[in-house]
Amino acid sequence: MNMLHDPNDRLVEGLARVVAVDGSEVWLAAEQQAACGSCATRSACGSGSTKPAASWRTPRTLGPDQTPLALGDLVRIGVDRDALTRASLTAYALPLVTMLLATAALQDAGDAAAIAAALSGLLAGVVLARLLARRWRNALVPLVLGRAQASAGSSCAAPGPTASAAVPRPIAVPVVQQRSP
Amino acid sequence: MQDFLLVLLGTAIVNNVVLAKFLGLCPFMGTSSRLDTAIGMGLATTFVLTLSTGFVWVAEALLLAPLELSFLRTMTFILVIAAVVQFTEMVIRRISPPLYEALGVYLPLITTNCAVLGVALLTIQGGYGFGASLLRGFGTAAGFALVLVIFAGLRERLALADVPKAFEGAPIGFVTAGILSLAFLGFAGLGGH
Repeated sequence: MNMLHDPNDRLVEGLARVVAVDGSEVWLAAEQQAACGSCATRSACGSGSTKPAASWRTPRTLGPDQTPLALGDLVRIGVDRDALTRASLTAYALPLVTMLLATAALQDAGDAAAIAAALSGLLAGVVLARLLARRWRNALVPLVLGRAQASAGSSCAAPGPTASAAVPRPIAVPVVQQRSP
Repeated sequence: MQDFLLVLLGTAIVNNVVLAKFLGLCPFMGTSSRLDTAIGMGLATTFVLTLSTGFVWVAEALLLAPLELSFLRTMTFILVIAAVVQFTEMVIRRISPPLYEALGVYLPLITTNCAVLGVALLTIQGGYGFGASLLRGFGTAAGFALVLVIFAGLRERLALADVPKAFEGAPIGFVTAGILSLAFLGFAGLGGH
């Protein structure tokens, strides 16, 4: 186990910005769209441009005693760390394991049989992963954790234990995932 | 079974793609600053690298070798790898849309990971059968994921360490990677692969 992670810190946090206000609800778009941070060659780099930003719908209010979200506000969102690891293991590792097992079983029967076995193993793994992924779909829905500080974005600005004791942690508001057409 | 384990040990640890062959250093340094990112990137690369080794073997055996087009190997392999990455993106989006939102961002980076092309070329040059190539691809990818996670754990600790000003950030990262590479040199000769 990584000792640097607080055992209570079960969420992988990210930033999202309010991009539209629709009555009592707002639309959030994920802020980080590239796997790396930004760098000097960002304009010439295609790693972040191929994927459209994720967007979610969420209630406008964060809590009874807080000002409602407005256009352009930056909020912190969190996804369950264990659910994310479990889901990525299911999606990536399960099809690989079934493919390798199928190939190993038919390896002595020749290359053509091994290729057919690998393809059917991969297909079976993908179908199995899809069935399993349905069971924890809800666990991967992000939660709104609260408004981000103005200087958020740098990990150095994360509030320490004293600061989080002074400001009560807002109630996590579930986000409704927007399904793309 | 023993051969199977020896191949895995040889490709994942003894001839580690990052620390012994020095391939894939860009994602190794770029995506290892946090453990969560490293696990996501490691799993995605393992999936793509194993799959692309299999597809590349099929392309070589059914297309390039019979038509004597081996001089087009590099170009064909790049195309196959890009297609595998696109396929993986589609599959992950179908399997779990929320997971794709959370981790799909690393997939386009894998297209430009030189380890994927390097492993495909080296495996084909080795002249192995389909099953053996697939196993070697998986072993290499598992080795890549392993050192990525180890290095991310080290860097998370380094972030809290009292490092001299001139060594902060990337320099201490490179020094750590060098020491890690020396440590992996200790496995040289193990298993005879």
